[in-house]
Amino acid sequence: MNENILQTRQLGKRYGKRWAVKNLNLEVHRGDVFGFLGPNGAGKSTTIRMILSLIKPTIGETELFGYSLKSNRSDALRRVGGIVEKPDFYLYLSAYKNLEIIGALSGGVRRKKILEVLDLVGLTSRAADRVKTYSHGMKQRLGIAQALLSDPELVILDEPTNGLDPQGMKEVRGLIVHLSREQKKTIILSSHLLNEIEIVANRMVIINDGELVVQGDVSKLLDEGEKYVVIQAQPQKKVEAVLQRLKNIIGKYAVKDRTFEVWMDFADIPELNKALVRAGVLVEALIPKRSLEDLFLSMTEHSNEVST
Amino acid sequence: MKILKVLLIVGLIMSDAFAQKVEKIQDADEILAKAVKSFEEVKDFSATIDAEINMDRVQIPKMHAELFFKKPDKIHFSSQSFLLVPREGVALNPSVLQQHYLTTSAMRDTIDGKNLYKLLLAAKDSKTRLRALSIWVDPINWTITKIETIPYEGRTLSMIFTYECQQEKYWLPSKLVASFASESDKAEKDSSPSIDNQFDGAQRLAPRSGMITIVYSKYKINIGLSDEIFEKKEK
Amino acid sequence: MIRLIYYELIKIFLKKRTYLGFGIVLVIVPLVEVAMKLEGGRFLTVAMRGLSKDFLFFGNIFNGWFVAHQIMNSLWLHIPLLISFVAGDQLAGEATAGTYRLILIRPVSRTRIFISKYITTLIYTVIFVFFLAALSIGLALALLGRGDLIILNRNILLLPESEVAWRFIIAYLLAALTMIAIASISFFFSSFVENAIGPIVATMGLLIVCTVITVMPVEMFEIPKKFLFTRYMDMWQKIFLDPIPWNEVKIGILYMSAWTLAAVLGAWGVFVEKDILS
Repeated sequence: MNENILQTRQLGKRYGKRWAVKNLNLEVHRGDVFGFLGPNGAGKSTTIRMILSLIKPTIGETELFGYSLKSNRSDALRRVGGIVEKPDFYLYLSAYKNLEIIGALSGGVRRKKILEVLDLVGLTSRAADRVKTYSHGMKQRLGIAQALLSDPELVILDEPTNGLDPQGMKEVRGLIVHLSREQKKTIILSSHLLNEIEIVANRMVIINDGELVVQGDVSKLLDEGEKYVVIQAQPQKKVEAVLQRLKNIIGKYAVKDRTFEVWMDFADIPELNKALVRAGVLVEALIPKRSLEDLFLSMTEHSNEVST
Repeated sequence: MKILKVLLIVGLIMSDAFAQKVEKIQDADEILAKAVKSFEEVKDFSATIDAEINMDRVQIPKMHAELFFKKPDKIHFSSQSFLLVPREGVALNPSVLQQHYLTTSAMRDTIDGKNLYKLLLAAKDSKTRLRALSIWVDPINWTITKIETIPYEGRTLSMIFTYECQQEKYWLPSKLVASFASESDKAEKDSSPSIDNQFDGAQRLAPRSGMITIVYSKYKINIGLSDEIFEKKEK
Repeated sequence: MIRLIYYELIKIFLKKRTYLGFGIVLVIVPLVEVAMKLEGGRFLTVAMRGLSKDFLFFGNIFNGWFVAHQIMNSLWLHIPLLISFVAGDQLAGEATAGTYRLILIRPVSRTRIFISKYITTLIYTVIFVFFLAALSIGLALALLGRGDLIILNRNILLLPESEVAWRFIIAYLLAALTMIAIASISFFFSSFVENAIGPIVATMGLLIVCTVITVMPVEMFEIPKKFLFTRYMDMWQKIFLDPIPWNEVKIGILYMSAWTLAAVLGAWGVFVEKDILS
């Protein structure tokens, strides 16, 4: 049975008349890489701030490792590390000194541990430099380092790839996978980029307008989504002829602009490709579309329709 | 009644004796010369002085110093702490008065039952600070027992000297009470001190009425004081 | 708690703005004292002109104690600005830098963080006041020597040197208390704004308004002005009166402590309940 290490019950935050987060019930199991998805302004950061006690909820409560955040804040947060939005530090201090100060707030950490987390994020050689000389990517990595400083069981990362270049994103995602697989950390990863979650998460929640849209296993949610292949190929008539011929593997298809959307099993893509080439079709691309992005878009769009 | 008669007779005899004495010295210059003579044998002296000032808006604790005097008018004070003394009269040399002033008149006067000569002196030089002085001379030992002057407009200064005979032959002051009175004592009575008026307040501080009392003791007379002692000037 | 205070001290003393106040004092005090020495006490002579018409003065009254007292007088209205510059940054600075998000997600209570920050502010304030004291007195004595202290007021008061040192110590302790009250007020403003300039402006604004009410001879202000901290800001000056009006000093201490306590409790209330949105 999965152990719940984070649970929110009817969590809500109201600013004036507007609910930024409403009736949010989250469940994060030990070992999860938990994707926390939502478009910008959906209430992800407000939720994370409530979980990390930066914001007091208007209603509801949060339990971490069985401890109520309201009545037992210190115990609840003792095994949690996090990074909230962009990584900000004492810019006039070195990375090492920043970590030393942050460590002191977690009961003190040894020099060895500081060096270890700096090494993990690849900042050992810059440890003595003042943070104000760091690039955004380095600050982001330092942010992850500080989140790992007290060796937490739960790491909450709020949009950790925000503002990073593709290489930086790749490194951070690699780090998350490493933390999950090698160090057995439970990770909550918030993002507005669905493919990021698709790459690393096993469970996920999507929120929109402060409310939960869907929560569950990524693979299950993927199965519930639509699967189709986008064909970019010329000439159009030959493509249509091939599609007519392969009715045994193709469910239905539609023509959109100069592309075809074909509902089929992804396992049959090589056969489709072979048929197209044999028919003398010039194939530019065959794109399988079964991503969380579609799911995310459809759900948030649906959610918007419902709410309006 | 008998007592009254006796007192009357004694009073008449005494006033007659005094009259006889006064009759002999009618001239003001002569009286001043007598005062000069009474101080003639003092060449220099040192003394301990203890001073106490009692003046409106001036709070200075009792002062203690060594006074050094050498004729004609050299004065030096040695003190561990701050000392404030009247500009005139602390070490009075009658010969300096004789040198700088002309006697204009002499008359008899009685103060506290004592019969004295009152002389009016006018400065010979217009640059002299005190333009006119009234001095009272005691005909018994020819010491100057009182001086009155107007040091500047609106201000009066009165100095009363008490003398004791030192080493059985030198009449030197044992006490000086210098009293200042001012006509402009009315303004600026109140308003407590605050941060910003501190310094201005002091600058506006006008001379106030009050007195300073100086008590002299431990005289050492004619000890041959060197001129070097007096080289440091007052601030 | 000691560890938290230690790291707060590191944060405060590795920050450049912390040294601005020290730097200003380090420039102004020697500048003024050297200038006063070069002037040779001319202004003291001007101040004493009334008395010097009748008296001669002997002894060194234009001495280090006098100059140190003048420095204390003249700088005292500007020191709150320098104090609030740092105290006002203590909480708001974290909000501005976004570092609240780093420190307030830790398993240490906000109250403990608040206390460590406030104690650090007190330490800074006291160090600053005593730095001013040590520099102004030490340098003045080295430059101009010792002697009795003359206090130029509506009155002229001379304090014998034997009494001067302990009067300065008490005066600076009271000055430190006053600055602690100012720092606490600044700390209070710092707790609910998210930029470091706000608390400085608010503190100075409050100081100016209260000072105006305190000095205005308006009847309707008579009762409220009794409760304003500005009325007691110069209580240290009473230590240089003779006799010292201890009752007035006690009342001053009471009101300054009350303002300090109110400001700290207010700041604590705001801080522990605050939503971190920065």
